[in-house]
Amino acid sequence: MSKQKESLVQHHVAHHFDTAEQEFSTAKLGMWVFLVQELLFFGALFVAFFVFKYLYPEMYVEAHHHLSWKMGALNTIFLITSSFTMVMGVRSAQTNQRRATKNYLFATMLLACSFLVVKYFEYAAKFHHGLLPPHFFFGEGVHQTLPIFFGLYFVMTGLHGIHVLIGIGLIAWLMYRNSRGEFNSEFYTPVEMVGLYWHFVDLVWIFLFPLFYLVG
Amino acid sequence: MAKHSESHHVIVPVKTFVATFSALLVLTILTVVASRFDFGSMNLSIALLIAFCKASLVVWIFMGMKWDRGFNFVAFVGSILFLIIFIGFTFSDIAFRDYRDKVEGEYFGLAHPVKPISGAHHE
Repeated sequence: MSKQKESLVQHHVAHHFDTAEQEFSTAKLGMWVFLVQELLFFGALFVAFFVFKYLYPEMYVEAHHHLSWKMGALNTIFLITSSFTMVMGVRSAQTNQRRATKNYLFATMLLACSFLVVKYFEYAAKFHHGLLPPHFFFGEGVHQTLPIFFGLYFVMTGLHGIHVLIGIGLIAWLMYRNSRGEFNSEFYTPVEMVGLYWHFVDLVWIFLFPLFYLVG
Repeated sequence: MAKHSESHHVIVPVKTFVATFSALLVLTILTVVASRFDFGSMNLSIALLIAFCKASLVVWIFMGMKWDRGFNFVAFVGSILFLIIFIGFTFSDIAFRDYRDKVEGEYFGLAHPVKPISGAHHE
C-alpha cells in the first residue's frame, strides 16, 4: 500500500479552470459532443444501409445468409462483457482501487482483441469466397446487387473495427497511466472518457449485429 | 448547476452494473432467438426494438446518463432528433418516388445501377 502511495502522481487542474469539477465536466461535455458527432457519422451509414434494404429487400435476405450469426453473436457477447469490465474499471478508479482498475482494463483489452480475432476469421472467409464490395467481388450469388451489401458490410464493420483498434490503444494508454498511479477518486477523467468512447463502440455494434447478421 | 457538476461523485453500486450486464445478455439471446422465427414484415421492427432497449441500457447506466442530465443529455437527444430527421426525409423521398417517376424497366427514371439476374425485380 505504501509503495502505491509513493508512486501516486498528483494531477494539477489546468490554469484555465476554477476547479477540478469544472475541468471534469468540461472534458465530459467535449467527449459527448465528439460522440454525438460519431453517432451522426455512423447514422449516415445506417441510412445508406436502410435505403438499399428498401430498394433490394430480396438481395438482403440472400446476403445475410452469407454471414455467420454465431460469430456475430459471439462478438456481441465479447463487446457487452467488455463494456461491463470497462464500467467496473472506471468504478475501481473512482474508489482508489488501482490493482482492480488494472485488471478490469486488461480484461476489457483482452475482450476487444478477441472481438478482432473473430472479425479476422469472418473477413478471411469473405475474402476467400469473394464476397467483397463492388469492383472486388468475385463471389457467387443469386442477385447481382449482392456486392452493394458487402460494400456496406465492409465499410460499416470495418470502421467499427478501426474504432475497436483505437479503443485498444486508448486502454493501453490508460493502463500505462494507471501503473504510474495517476488515477484516484479525485482525478480519473481519462478513464471516464475512454469508458464513454468504449460504450459508444459497443452501442454501434448493438445495431450492426441484428441488422447485418440476423434480419434478412 | 450544482447537481450537474457534482454528478461524477456518484459511485454506482456494483449490483446495478451486474444487473445491466445481465439484462444486455438476456436481450442478446432474445434477439437471436427472435431471429430464428419468421414474423414476416415484423422481423426488422422486433430486432430494432430490442436493439433500442439494449442501446438505452448502455447509454442510461453504463454511460451514466441517468446521473448526468443537463447539457450532455441535450446534446445526445439533439443528435437522435437530427438522425430521425435524416432518416425521415430520406425515406419520404426514396419511398414515394415510384408514384411519379416509374419508367418501365428503370427505377426512378434512372437506369438500374446493377440489374438483378433473376427473380429479383420488385415491381
